[in-house]
Amino acid sequence: MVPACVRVIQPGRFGQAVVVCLAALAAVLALSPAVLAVSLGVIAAQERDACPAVWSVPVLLLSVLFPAQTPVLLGLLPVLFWSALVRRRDGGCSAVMSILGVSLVWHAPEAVSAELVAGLGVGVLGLIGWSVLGARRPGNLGLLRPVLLMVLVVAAQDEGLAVCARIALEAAFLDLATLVLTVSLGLRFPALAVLRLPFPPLPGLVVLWLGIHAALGMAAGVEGWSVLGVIVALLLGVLALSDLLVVGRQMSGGQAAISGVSVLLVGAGSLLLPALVFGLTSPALHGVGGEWVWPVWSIGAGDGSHFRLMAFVMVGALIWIVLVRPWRIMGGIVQAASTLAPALMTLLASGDVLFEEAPSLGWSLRRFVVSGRVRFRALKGMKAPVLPDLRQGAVGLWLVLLGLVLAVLGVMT
Amino acid sequence: MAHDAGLIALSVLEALFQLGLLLVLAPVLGWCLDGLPFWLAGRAGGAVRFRLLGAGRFWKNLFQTPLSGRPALALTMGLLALVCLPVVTTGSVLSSLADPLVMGLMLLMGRGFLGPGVLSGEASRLVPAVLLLCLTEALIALSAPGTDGLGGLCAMLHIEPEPGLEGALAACALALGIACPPLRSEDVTGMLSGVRDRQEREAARSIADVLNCGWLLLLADLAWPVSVGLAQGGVQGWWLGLVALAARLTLAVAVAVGLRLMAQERSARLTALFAGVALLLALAGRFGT
Repeated sequence: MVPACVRVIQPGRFGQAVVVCLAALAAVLALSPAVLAVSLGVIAAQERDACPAVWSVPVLLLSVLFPAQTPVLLGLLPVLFWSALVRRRDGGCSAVMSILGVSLVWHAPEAVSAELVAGLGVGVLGLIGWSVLGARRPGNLGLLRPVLLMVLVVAAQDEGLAVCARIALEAAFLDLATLVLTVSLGLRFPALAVLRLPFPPLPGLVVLWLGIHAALGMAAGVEGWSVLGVIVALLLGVLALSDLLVVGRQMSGGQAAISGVSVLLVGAGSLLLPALVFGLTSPALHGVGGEWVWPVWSIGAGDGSHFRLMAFVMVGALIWIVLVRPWRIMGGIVQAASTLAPALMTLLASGDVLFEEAPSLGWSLRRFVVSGRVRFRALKGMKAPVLPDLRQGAVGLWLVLLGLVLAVLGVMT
Repeated sequence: MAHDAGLIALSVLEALFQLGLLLVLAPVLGWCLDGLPFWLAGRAGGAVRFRLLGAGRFWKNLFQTPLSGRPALALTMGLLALVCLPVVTTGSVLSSLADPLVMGLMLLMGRGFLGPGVLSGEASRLVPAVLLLCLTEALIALSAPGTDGLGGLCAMLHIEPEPGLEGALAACALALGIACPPLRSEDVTGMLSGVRDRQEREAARSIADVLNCGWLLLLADLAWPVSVGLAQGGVQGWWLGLVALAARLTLAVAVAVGLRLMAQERSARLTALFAGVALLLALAGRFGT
């Protein structure tokens, strides 16, 4: 099943790919973890840029022997995302890997969510740091977001917060839907990648907003999640920023002119995609929890706040159309909308500056390293205790101590 | 029924009034941001009259010739922010759309569409600003679950004051102001480097004023949400809200100009410090109660 869908996506047969990906999602979510491990092994064997066998073979064996253990799950993440994040290759396979990662977490309800969040966070920050030091753009880190959202779902279900689990699941489904759409239709309509951007009123922002509210909904319901919820929110922000880079790269591969169909698809996608996805997946959503609602006019976040997407899009579109008056220019609304593409490209390309040049360590940092070495040596030969002068950092020290106390308080209460 | 219709008409009227008031204030605020540092240093800047006349010319031109797609999108973002954010009271018709994260990202996107190029170093403003907006949204959801956007937050803080959250939001607003200061006139000049058409350049300056006004208003609303009046406050509450609006915007302009004069804009250390303070205050407020 899974290798077949990989083969379908690679040559770019668009219509089938969407159907097969959705079918793969449904099938894989329903299958047992053992089948998941086997399909993982098959994919790992077929992939050219797969994770080195030194790592992947023992981890796959362990995942069959001890399914749903937190360390094994974290160990499987490199096997899944090696080609996308380390080798930085885009392709249909990455979306399938994201789906597989989601279903792996789904089948592991007894995994410790705090450790999974910590592992994902360390992975993301490590990959970003590695790309900054190596002066290369990071890979598609947004692939990790459905996994993170699924961790939230599992954690919320574990604590009995049904509404929170549903919100996180909505976000995960919407994110996967935009991912599959981008991958499957991306060759023909590169402009569709815009849907993943975290700018209003695109679905990428809905995912970010729902994810933040789901994470903080956990904080409201469960003690100990206050600090973790804020960390998840910031992590979602970092992933949204990495989407800016990825979308810029994907769009720059396509042609400059934008067809009318693309404009129509992006407009309809930003207006209707959330409602469509929530409607199609409503059996799964309501199986998880919450009352029967179909968020068309206003998307609820479960904690009382609402995102009235339709009203927002309609008011914005009305103002823009009145300002542009497309009936008075040649080419109408398509012409006006395609003037937006170059500006968007320059905006997205502005982030590339951060990864153009490897940072050389500044003199202050070098001095710090060297003086640290000198002090360490002096410490060994010290007779009388002479403390270094640290008065400059006193405020920072107090803030760190206060933060530690509060974090401990948050974990203990 | 008639009562309901009257209330809806009132809220629509309030939204239109707030839009008109802020569009008149936008060039004045733009002059304050650009000219006040010169004026304080004893040098002559342009008079505020010219700024207002320029804005008037821009709006008159807008009725005659339509804008092209890109500046129109930037102006749309600015106008949406001005009409959605709570200004005088929370009772305007679109104030339920004012979510801090959505409004902030919208204004940041509007900045990107202002000119054919982007500012040099725009990424180093965008990255901390987006992360700070996420932090703000998270702290509001953490400390005041159940509020609906900025309007709901203002209404809730009137009923049930929460000093921890208010302090955290003020620190967040300050960090946002430091990390991503309003556009200056030389910034706009840099963004318009390839544009020859005089009318287009003047239009971009007016749009930048609208975007700056929206950004300052968002920061002011975050920093002092209690000063927004309640929808049920009556006539007296409305006037009080108007006076508080003036005070809030004056404070925001003073802080922005002060940061610029003291060269503290875009200081990574201060941004991190205030973000940390915001997190600490919010956590302290949560565990203290």
